[in-house]
Amino acid sequence: MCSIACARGLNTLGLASEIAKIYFVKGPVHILSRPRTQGLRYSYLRSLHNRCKSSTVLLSGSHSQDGGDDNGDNVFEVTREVPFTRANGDKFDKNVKILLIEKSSKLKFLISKEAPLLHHAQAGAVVDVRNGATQMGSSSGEHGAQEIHLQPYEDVEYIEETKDSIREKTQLVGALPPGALDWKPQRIDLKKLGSYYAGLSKSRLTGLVVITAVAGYAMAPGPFDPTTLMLCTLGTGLTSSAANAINQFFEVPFDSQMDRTKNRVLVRGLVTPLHGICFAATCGTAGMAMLYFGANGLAASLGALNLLLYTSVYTPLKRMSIINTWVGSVVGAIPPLIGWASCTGGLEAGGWIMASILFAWQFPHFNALSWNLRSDYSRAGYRMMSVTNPGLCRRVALRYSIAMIGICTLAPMIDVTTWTFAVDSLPLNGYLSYLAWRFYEDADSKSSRKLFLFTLIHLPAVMMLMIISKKHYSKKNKLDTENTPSETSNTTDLVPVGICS
Amino acid sequence: MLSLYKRNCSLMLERCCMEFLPVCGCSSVSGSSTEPSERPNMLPKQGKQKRREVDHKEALIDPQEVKCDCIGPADRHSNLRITQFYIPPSETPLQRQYREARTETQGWNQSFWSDHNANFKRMKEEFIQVRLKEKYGDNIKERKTLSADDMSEFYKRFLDDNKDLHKQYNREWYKKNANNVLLAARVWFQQRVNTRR
Repeated sequence: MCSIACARGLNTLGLASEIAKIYFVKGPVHILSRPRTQGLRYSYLRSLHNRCKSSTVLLSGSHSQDGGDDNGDNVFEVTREVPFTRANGDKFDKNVKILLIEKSSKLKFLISKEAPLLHHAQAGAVVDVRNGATQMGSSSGEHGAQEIHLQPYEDVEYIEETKDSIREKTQLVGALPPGALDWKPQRIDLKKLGSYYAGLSKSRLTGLVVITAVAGYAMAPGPFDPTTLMLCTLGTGLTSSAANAINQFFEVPFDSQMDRTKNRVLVRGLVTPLHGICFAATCGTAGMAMLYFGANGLAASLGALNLLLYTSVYTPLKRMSIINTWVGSVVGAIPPLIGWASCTGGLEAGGWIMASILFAWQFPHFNALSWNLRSDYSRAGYRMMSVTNPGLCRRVALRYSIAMIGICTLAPMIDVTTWTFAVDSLPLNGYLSYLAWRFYEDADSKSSRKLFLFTLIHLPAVMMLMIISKKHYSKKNKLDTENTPSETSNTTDLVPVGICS
Repeated sequence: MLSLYKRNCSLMLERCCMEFLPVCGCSSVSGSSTEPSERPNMLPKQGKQKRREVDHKEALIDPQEVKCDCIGPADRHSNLRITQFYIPPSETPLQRQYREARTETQGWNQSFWSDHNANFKRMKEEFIQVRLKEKYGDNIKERKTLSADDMSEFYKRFLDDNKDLHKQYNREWYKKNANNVLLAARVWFQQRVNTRR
């Protein structure tokens, strides 16, 4: 026989016993909305040993519903709002939300030696476990399970908690430890495999990487070829997925420590490490092959370099040295170069401009993000700038934000974009610098969050502005080769339109 | 899922009967709350050393029954998710080696992180106490908290103090992790070959 008491969507659930563990879930979900126990998750646990710090309450006006027929699946627990009175007679105008377990469902067996009604201080919920009402209905089911039914609710007793009187203890007999229901067989669920793979490849990050690569391709002055662009996009995406999967494979115990990462696929064991590695190997090979055959050797080797840099330099470096952020920025700066190289087959100045925008962007972005995670990083052993050198962290973010203005002005100077880019990117970069300066001055979580959120808008916006103010070499080409209608001149015109639409 | 649900129930009952029967037996309330020494077997989770161990008894699922490894919730001390390994009836030596390697890695990880996290918590508490005293003196009437700036000093110190420990741990973890995945691949190949025959 065992008892397990759990509540979801209630403020709390109180119950006292020597061995009972009491746990409750904070959350907006009402218990009746999902009565099945298998859906429960315990995000917050608390055990009360020996003594429940309770202020007892007297419930009034609660009447039981008829239990209904015993058709197995019903869960006989009701959450209800009841007016309550304190033991000392004080009335409260607020109703209290209680969880009544009137009859055990298959997974909730409740027995108690007493008939107490305990109310955790400031709690919104009460669990009633009563012995007097307990009957042992030994209906041995098909699995030999013994069902114990609690009788429908009749009246409510209360016990007074005074210092002198020795309160008899409730005992929840055979309580299950918390989390007992959270064990899951580690079997691959094919239906969810897609979402697991999305998790392994950190789909949002990969999406951003792909966007920068496409932007790199769009900016390049070469001929536009849809197949190349497709293969370049896919190849970059797959390479990035591989890198992320390998990164997660290496970081399982570290990811487990941090709230931000503790729900990753490999941490939760939804996919085995070998599976993750196989996924990474497949993606990596396919991605590289696409870059090589779809684009060119340069793009493929940039992809390979980035994969290597991310997985075997950046990932271990995060736990070794503060320079990891700079290495990470290099990793972030390479994707537009891949796009550029896919288009032109070389690395011209324009590509480097894009790469340096990406490089500079990482600092306000990541430093602001890591600012609020200092506690986690410290515990998990990540040597991040925000922890080891907070001052430098803020300085660097500010420095590179201002540098961004310089880079965006440099772009038209070396003939990558028109001067409109320098002008219309100015407000964006100006605001970025302003937020970075606020972050530098205030150094609080609010300013860092603001800066982080803005960087998320800033990057796509700058990329977009850059593409629409791209220098159209096609016009020059036309002048050069006046009467020969070259294909390239027509197609390059399409690039910005194709991207922007 | 429903079948699993039912099986869980029966299993749960069995286990609870086994483990908590002594409690059921003498659960008459005699006000004997302060005599844990008399019935030490009734308080299975309160021993301090016991806490740190990987406790498999919590699960309702038996890996032997579902015929695959089972993974639990995040441990509250180490934050790691504990896996219970399935032992197939005809376990090959390689499979055994793989399972033992994983068990060993898990135990090692568990002990490292639960110690480390406990250490973090303790040091943080100490730091806060000391810092509060420095700031406000002994007469702290209302609850005061430290600013994020103050705390960042602790985070930095803790990280620096544990630098070598982490270095060691990282190296060891990379080794173990790689070894485990190689073993997993070998086991997989072996199974493939066996099913072909």
